[in-house]
Amino acid sequence: MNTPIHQLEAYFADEATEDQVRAIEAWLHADPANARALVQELHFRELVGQHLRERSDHTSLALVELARFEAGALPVVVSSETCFDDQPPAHDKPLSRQAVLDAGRYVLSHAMHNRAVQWSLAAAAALALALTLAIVFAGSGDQTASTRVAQTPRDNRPLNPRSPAVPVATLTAQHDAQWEHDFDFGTPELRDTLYAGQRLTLRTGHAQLTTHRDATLLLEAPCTVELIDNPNAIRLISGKLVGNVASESAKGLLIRTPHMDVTDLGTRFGVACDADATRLRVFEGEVLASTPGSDQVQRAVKASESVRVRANSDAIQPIDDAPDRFVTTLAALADRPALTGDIRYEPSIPSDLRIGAYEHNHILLFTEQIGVSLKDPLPVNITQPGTYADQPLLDPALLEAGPTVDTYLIHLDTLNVEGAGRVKSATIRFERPILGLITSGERMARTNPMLGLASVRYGSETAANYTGLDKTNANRESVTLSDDRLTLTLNISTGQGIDQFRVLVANEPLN
Amino acid sequence: MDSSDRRAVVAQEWQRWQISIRAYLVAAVHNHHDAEDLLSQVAVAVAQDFEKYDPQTPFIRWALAIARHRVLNYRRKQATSKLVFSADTLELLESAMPEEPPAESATRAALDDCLDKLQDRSRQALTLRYEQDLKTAEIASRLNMTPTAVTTLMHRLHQSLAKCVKKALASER
Repeated sequence: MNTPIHQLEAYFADEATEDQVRAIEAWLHADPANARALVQELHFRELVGQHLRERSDHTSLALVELARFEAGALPVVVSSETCFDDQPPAHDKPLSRQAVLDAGRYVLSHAMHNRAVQWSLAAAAALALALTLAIVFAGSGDQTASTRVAQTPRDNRPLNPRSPAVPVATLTAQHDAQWEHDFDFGTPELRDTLYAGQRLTLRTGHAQLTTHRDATLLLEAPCTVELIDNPNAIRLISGKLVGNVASESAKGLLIRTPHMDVTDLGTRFGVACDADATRLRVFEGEVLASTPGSDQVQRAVKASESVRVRANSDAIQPIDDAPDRFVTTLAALADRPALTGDIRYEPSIPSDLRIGAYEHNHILLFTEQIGVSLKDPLPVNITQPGTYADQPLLDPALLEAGPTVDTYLIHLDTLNVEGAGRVKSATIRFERPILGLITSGERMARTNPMLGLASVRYGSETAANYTGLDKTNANRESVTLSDDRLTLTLNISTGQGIDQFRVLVANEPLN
Repeated sequence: MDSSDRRAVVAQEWQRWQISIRAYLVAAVHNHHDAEDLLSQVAVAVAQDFEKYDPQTPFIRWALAIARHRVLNYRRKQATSKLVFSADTLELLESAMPEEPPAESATRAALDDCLDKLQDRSRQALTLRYEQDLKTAEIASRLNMTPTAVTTLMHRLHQSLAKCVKKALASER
């Protein structure tokens, strides 16, 4: 619920002003989900209120009897003598214990509530109805002054076995995730069960849902999805997700967006949806894309292909250069590198990393992108294990096309008070092999658009010559890539400039 | 289906949906006392008209239609009618009603445990609101808080309770 809490709380407390009522009405009409959210919140508050009133110290004798009945201590006698002269006809069906309890609760809740508001004739009528219902439900028994209810075996099943809360998925992993709070379901937490009808809005980070058919859905913020009453389907309202179907039970996974239905046939694919269009990219296998209109159009989309359906169009168009980059696995996000020495990992990357904009006493490590597919050979500075302390030796290195990589940024911009020029030493150990290193400002600048983040201003943007491994103090600065390619050892310092290096790590373990 | 069967169905359905109908009425008039009176009126109307109920129709739709008429009558009679939702909004709320009523007994069992986990002041705030039916300003005065702080406390309390109940229900599955 996004309407200000004070408006809603005033409404719940019977204290809303006319303006607040109108604002809430406008909010309700803005999105059908808001009305559902309000109704469910009211349901919950009604239950809380009713329950608290029943728990109160002002317990009536009837409540005591009810409780004793509930505990199996004695049968309940529902007396109608004072309320009805003309009893409804008896019914053959036996009175269930739960029906008696609920009728009693109804009566009691009215009685107890109305202690505070004065007993009214209307409430008495409701009481009469409740008793009528209880007696009708009581079925056989004498039809005179009272109806005795036979004690039945204790039944601990929920009142409504067909609960509206149908579990369809589980939140199985997340990384730096911030969720929009949902009044009905709260804020999702790791390993939470997720239910049909639940809408999830991921504000930041990444999260992985696993459906009860064993498909995984990797959400990338900002993203809104809605779970539906089908354990192998999800509605993508906006944002990006990657579907991964690795088991037979998950085949047929359906992603529904406003513009396209995506039916998986046992593979991995990414879907990006905004107001203008839905785009689909298939990483492995084959996917069936179809338009939702009456003139349904279908198209099989194969690995490495991308298609798009625009709003108000039924055409499924192939696109050569899809603008979307998908995080295809959460493993890289979940497994933070192990660090030692003068280095810190920061989960979110600042928007300005130019010289002097983000100074710190430690080397800083940021995750930039996850799952970048290298379609062309990429010029880097280091691809082989060894110690590098001389800039000319770093050129030229070329990373072959093909692999999917995660990119990390190493940033050192020492606080001036700390004393520029002091060497910082650190090691970074990754879970997967390092495929390449970019240590020159010029190559950093060239790869920022592809491997960096568009939202970040890098040092190499304005001062490329001052952001790489220094050429002039080779004796003091060095970078070592271990033989197993998992560990990077840094001995670096800054003077007038800053150090920014990019590390390219395999997105998946190498075969 | 004969009359007694129909009556039994209505009785059963009323039990299942009573809290939802009350929630609807509270939503419609946002005054708990008036909602209580309206619920009584709806209950009487349901009892009187049970012969008209078509079991092929979802009971909640039929009952809410009765409730809506009562609310609109109430709106016409109230001097403070501007505080009552419009007919359009009432229909919107009707359509938002879930297909199945809330799992009341399971939720109540979970609520017991969750309420016990609350701090004294939080429990006291809920008691003042739900049992003593006090306004926010009065609760603030009793708890030596500002009304704004009480509002925020109520919001967070219900959030926490809902989360706790949800977890408890999930763990039972």
